[in-house]
Amino acid sequence: MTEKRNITEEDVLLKIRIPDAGVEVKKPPTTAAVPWGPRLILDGTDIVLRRLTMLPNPQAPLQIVIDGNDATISDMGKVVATGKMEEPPTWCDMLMSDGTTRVGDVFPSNMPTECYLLLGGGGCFAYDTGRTCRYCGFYVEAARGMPSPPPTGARPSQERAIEAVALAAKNGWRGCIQIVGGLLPPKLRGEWFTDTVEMIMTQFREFLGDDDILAELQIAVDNAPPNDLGEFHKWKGFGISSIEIDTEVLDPDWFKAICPAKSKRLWDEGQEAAAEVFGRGRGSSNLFVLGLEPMAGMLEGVEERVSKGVYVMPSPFTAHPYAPMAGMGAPSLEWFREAYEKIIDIYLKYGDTFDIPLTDDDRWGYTRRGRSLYAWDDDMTRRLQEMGKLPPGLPSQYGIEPVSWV
Amino acid sequence: MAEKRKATKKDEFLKIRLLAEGVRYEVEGQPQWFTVNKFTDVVVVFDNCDMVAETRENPRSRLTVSIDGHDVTISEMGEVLDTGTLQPTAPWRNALMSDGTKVDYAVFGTNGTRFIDTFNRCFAYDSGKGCKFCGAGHGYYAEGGPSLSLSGILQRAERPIEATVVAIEHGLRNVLLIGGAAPPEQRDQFTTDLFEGIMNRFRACLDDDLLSQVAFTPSVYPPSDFGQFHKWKALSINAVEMDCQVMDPAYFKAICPGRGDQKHWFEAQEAAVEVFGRNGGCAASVILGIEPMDGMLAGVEERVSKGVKITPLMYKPFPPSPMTAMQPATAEWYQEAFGKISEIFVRYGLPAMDGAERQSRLAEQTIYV
Repeated sequence: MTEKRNITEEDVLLKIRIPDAGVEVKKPPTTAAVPWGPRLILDGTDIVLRRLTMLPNPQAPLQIVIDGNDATISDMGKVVATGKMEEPPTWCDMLMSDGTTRVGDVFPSNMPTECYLLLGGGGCFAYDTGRTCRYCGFYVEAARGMPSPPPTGARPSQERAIEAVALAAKNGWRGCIQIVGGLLPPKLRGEWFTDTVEMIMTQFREFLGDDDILAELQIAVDNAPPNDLGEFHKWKGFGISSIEIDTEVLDPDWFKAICPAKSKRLWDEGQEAAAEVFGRGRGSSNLFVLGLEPMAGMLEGVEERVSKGVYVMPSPFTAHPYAPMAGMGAPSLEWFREAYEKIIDIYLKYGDTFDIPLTDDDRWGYTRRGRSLYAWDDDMTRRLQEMGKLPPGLPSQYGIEPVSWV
Repeated sequence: MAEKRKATKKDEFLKIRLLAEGVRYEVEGQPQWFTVNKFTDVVVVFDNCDMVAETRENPRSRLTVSIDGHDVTISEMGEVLDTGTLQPTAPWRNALMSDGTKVDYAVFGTNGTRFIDTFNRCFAYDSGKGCKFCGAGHGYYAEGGPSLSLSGILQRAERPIEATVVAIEHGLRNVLLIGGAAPPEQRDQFTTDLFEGIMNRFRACLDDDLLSQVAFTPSVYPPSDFGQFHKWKALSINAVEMDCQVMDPAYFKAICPGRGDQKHWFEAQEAAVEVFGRNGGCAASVILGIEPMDGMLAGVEERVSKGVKITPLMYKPFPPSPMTAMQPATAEWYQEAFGKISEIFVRYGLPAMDGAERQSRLAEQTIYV
């Protein structure tokens, strides 16, 4: 077994480059199928690599060769890392109540740390009104394969998804459940919104039947702010523990250009109200797309939000093939490295103003120490390891192992 | 010598890649005249079709440009894609001034154009609203010292004008009057007085016949009084360049916050078209790859329909601008964009861009860095 070691800057850079790697499979892994695709755990650091394209690309400088459960990563022919294909959690092979379906086949996620329960029926107010977020091609793509989309406000039947998540949670899965959907139209951000959240949570609680487990999960509603921010108190009563209201862009002028259907003021106010009700940090989060706007305005926006108790999560920009910004370039690796460094500086500056200081937060969900979803998670771990706040190696990522580290 | 053939889509795509993806440089032998100033001078002429292609450095690119003397080999991960030569400098760049100085050392410019520097600071940058892509505003003009008076600008321009006169006598035919953005109160009569001073100096050195062969084009932020254009025309100025750079109004505001109201730029361009003529009397650069395709194309078509000559430039990182680390769009994106802009040009009676034009003139600006 490779000895555990701390994460280095080179490890973080390597992870940033992973989406551009070519992948050659010499012998397929023996691990069972998982809904989130193959993931690779690096030897020594435990960094998780996802978004492996699984396609050969001999022209890519970075190459991953998969040979059974072993993987080797090389850069222009020089081996830079080795790793193992991730073993799926045992609950993936459990059977649902129908006696035939594997939980892993229904678990609603493309990553094992988070899963999605749907709010509405497949539409997006921004797309439907011709003002889709410029980086987003999700609804353009969805509309191509959807001859008759569900009517606005239709609530999808997702009993099986809810059952799968509940079964997983009862058998060790921990992470964040996002109650999510395309941007709701303003008319559905009132009573309809609260009723839907209540309906989903009622079903989930019935399947789960264990309030102790419920309390360990991060359960976040991810959409526009409700018309009446006072609704957050009701949602908390349903078992919601967090609100995610994504501005995607932080500089106000770039926000208007890139997300013309959203209101920065309403989104910001919603985040601040959520921090009041659900707690600073984990209780209010804001995903944004890193690389769409220049550094200075982005950092200013991050600091302003974090100072208000909002946990800001950078998701690196890659052009979606159906988005208006398809084909447009992302910044350089060095830019991402610098951005991560400075964002983490901001976190460390304000982290102890959160409900639980960020450097000590081991709760499941976004703010958990030692997460390895995005490269900036690993960069945060690198900093915490430097500070002596985390040991070498990473903790369990989604609860299948007893938590015995630190 | 290899027989020449027409440029193909494949040649054009490679040319676009050299800027969009950048290249790694390998220099075996370096020609004497080649300065290798951050490789901004590496312009390659493809052997088989004479297509001229700019390059930019990207140490992580799959493409390599190997330079051995004047010879260039373009390869991708070891596979040779094309060969060429370094573009020779225009002969007048090496012409000597009366004190023996080369023209190239006394005035900025490219193979086709010399730039007479006007305003030494950029109002957009100085007011904290510099264009996000612009390294000149955040670099050269930011370090331009105190704002010069009219006589100060003219005094500073004397030697570049002298050098440009020598260049014109040796064949140069394009002169751009360019500087940082003037403050609003200097965009009218002050600018007219400045152009009068510059043109008087050229007139004093060149006979009317030669003067009439040279295209003098100021690149400016629009004046508030469009009547200035008539005065400029009377000074032998042939055209005006007012670069709105970005077409989608929301992106314009985000990327060029110091340029003010986009409508004013458009009105000024249309007024300049009235004075100097359609499809050449008023030019406007647009930087491709910093705004989504649909809004850019809609804007280009609207401008071209009004007689504005749009010059599409490929975006490339321009240090030390705020967008320096932002990378260009993909080569496929640029090829599609150029194709669609070309269709617009044809629809409005302009010649389609040929392959040789489909890249960037933005490199001209990097000379300032």
